[in-house]
Parts: sequence; structure tokens; C-alpha cells
Amino acid sequence: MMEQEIKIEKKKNRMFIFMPAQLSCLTLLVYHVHNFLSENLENRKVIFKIQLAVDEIVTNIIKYGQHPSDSYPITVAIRMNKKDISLKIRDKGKAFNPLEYELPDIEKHKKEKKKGGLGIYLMRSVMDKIEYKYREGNILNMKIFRKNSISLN
Amino acid sequence: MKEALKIRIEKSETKPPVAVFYLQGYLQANTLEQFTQTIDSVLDEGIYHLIFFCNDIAFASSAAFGELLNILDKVEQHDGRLVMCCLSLPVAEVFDLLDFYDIFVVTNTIEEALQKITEKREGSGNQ
Repeated sequence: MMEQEIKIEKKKNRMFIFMPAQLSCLTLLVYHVHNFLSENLENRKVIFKIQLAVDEIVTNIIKYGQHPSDSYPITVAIRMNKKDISLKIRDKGKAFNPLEYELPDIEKHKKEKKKGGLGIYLMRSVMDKIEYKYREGNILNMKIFRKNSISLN
Repeated sequence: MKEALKIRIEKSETKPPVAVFYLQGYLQANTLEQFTQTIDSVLDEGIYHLIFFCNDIAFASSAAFGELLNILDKVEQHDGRLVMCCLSLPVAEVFDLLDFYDIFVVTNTIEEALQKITEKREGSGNQ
């Protein structure tokens, strides 16, 4: 299969990323998320947390989503607001609600040195608000509030 | 965009030997195979004292941290030591979130990391 590039659209305080369901696109995804956020945010920790949440969800979507053969079945939208930074991730794969995912016991996980299962835990740890709905595909809305030491330029 | 992940390895002539991995770029699901194969090739040489120099890791996801647990398990099975050195912000942030400081040895310099390995060797009877 030919590797596809991701498509980017920027509008003022918003960025849209359209991407194929290919793991090989993950680095470009987090690279563009970083670049967009860096234009408006100084707090590197917050920038990383948003990159991490996006990476974890999109990785999960690509690995387990069973997508149709659309060119760009995954959309990531980021919006910088006065009160928060919001993310909307849509995909056309099978239904998966990360809020219903049973979180691992991290202490047990570390003791047994298990490899998998940390992604959804991390995503839920770094986001302040998460909502899920299924409407012709998965729609995940997430927010990080400005009160959590975000300094906008 | 440049190569997503670059790994440079330095191996010591000491007995037992130590390998320092200088990691640069992105550690995530799409670069995991390269990361794992590189580490495994060194473990296959019988080198079980490893230092990961993390200052230039631009991004790391759960895929990398799950693999770190796996590598830690492998080196401990051979009485080796894995030392994480010079954590970049992304690595340090996930270490905080997962409270990994209680299972990994973390240092600020390569010299300190080598010292931790020397302590381990002496503590286990200079294997």
C-alpha cells in the first residue's frame, strides 16, 4: 500500500488534520500538532499533553478501528479558545468509547511489567474533560482548561 | 521531515560491558519496531547493562513506555541494570504520570549512570 501524506488546514485559531489510518503518519501528526500549538502557547508541558492525547487516541483508532478504505478516515481538529484548548477526533471505524475502557491498575502493571494498556490511561490522565458519542463514526471531544497554568502568547 | 527516530550506540570495553543508547526524535507506535530491534540486537550480544540517553527525545507515547517495562524485565532477568539518563520534558512528564521513578533508575549525567551500574555490579559480587 502506498503511504499517504496527511492534509492540514489552518483557520485562525483552529487546525484540522485529515489523515489515513496508517501508523506511519503518527510522527507527522504529532509534529504538526506541536507546531500549531507552539505558535500560540508557551507552556511546553501542556503542548506535550495535547500531543500525547492525540497520539494515544489515533494510535488506538488505527490499530483497532477496522476502517473502510477511505483515503482520510480520521480527522483531528484543534481549537485554541480563551478558556481552553479543545480537541475533536473523528473516525469512521468501529465504535469504541474510551470512557468505558477499564483502566489498568498501574501499580500491578509496573510490578508485572506489562507492555500494553497504558495509552487510554495516559490520555484520560492529561485531559480535563472528555466526551464521547457515536454518530456515523466515533466522535471524541476533549478539553484542557486554561486554569491549569496555560500561558497564551 | 527528517528521520523519525535516530539511535546511536556506544559500547564500553569494560567487563561486563555497558551500552549507551543516544535516542533522538520520536518514540511512538510507528518507530517501536526499530527501537525494539536495536535494543534486542545489543541484548543478543550479551550486553545487559544499558543506559538510555533521553535528552533528545522530542516525543514519547505509551508504546515506548510499555516497551521500556519489557526491556527492564529482560535486563533484570540477566542481573543487568537499565538506567534512564537526562530525561527530556516528554519523558519526564510520562514518568511523573505513571510514577515510573520507583522502578527505573534515573540520572542527570552519563557519569552518574555509569556509577549506578558500577554500584549494581559491586552489589552483586562483580559478576
